[in-house]
Amino acid sequence: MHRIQTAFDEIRADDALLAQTRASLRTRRERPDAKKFRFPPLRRAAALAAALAATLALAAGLFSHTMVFSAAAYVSIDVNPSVELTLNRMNRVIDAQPFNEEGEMLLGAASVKGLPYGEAAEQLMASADEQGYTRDDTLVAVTVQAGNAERERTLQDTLAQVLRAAATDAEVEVFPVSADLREKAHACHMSAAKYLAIQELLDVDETATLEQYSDSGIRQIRQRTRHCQDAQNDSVGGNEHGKTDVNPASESNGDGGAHTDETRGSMGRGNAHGNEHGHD
Amino acid sequence: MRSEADIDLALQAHADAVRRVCFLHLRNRSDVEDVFQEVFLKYVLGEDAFDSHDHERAWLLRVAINACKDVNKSFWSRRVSAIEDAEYRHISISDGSRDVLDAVLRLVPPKYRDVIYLHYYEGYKAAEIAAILGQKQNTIYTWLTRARKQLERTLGGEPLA
Repeated sequence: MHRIQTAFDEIRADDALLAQTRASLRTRRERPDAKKFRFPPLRRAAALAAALAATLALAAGLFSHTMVFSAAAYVSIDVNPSVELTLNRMNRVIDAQPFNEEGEMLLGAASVKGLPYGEAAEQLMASADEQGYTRDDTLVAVTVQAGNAERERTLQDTLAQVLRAAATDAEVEVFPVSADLREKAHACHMSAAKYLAIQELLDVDETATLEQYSDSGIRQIRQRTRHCQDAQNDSVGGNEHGKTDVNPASESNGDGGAHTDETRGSMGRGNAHGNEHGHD
Repeated sequence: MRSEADIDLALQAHADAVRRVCFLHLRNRSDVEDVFQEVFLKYVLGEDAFDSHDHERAWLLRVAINACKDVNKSFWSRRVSAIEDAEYRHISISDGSRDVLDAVLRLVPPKYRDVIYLHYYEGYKAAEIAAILGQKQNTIYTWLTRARKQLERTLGGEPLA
């Protein structure tokens, strides 16, 4: 018998693993419609119970009811489905709101309440993928708002990594936005991501109105924005478009998003929106 | 839905094989438990009739390999499973075998590990391996050649003799 065979022969499923598998199957056979195999309910329930227990145990001194249940951050995600997640202080999803029909269907298919935000984002992307919303040229536009620049940066970086891994063919962009912008977006019945995209367009296209683009997808809006910027740049003489080198490291002022490598005219607009972000 | 007796038979027959695939792709006990659960749950819920023991095993291994890929793709789970179990804590392995397995894990690219296992241990032919991995048969031939060369380079001598 050769060495490979000898070596693999020694790998066996141990009794504890078999017992654990049998036990979990017994429970799951009773609920065959439970969807998420990756994070089985027994383990997740145990994890959540532990988290809740820890929270309650420390409630006396350190954690309060409000930390568990009150909103501390907002993440909006637009693929085509447009949704917004509300996070608590522990970065768990405590609410999820759709901004269009596709968003409603997405939230109907993927239950994300109670999940940590990274897992929630991953599951939403997986669902969107299953439902056919992601294709080669998909754009995933995300905004975060947390009233605290450091938290926003962490959310930004993590979401960018999680979503890029989850949707390898898509472009992913993540921007921080101010509470003010988010409120304005909601007043117009749209997500912060879309509102931000439209604002950028309105800055370069004098003829455009918000109503005109409220039903458009973000990719479409960005294309229009780029088109207008190109036209402007051309008329000024020399096309600036190809020169901007998008490098996340250069966005250290925190105003830019965690961008993909594609040159994007709107990059330069990050600074113009300094007044939108209001971190101070 | 298959019965508990069916599950027991399947576990008895194929758990070791599934464990070996997990060994090749996962570094974490809880990931192994998750994949086991997914593989055998799909088995429980499935209704495919299998022609043979080999056919059944091939099906289970395909599900297992895909489940391992999903685990590794999930950035979020990679982030939270930062604590890795000592690789051999749940498996007792002799020193000689440990060297071989370490070499396979560290020096053979993930793609080739599956073909090494499926061909040189399980004895599947290229056509069968192609079906398990969802690849063209010619691709498998290429991978097998490269994998063998890689193994010989890594382990020295003739590890497949």
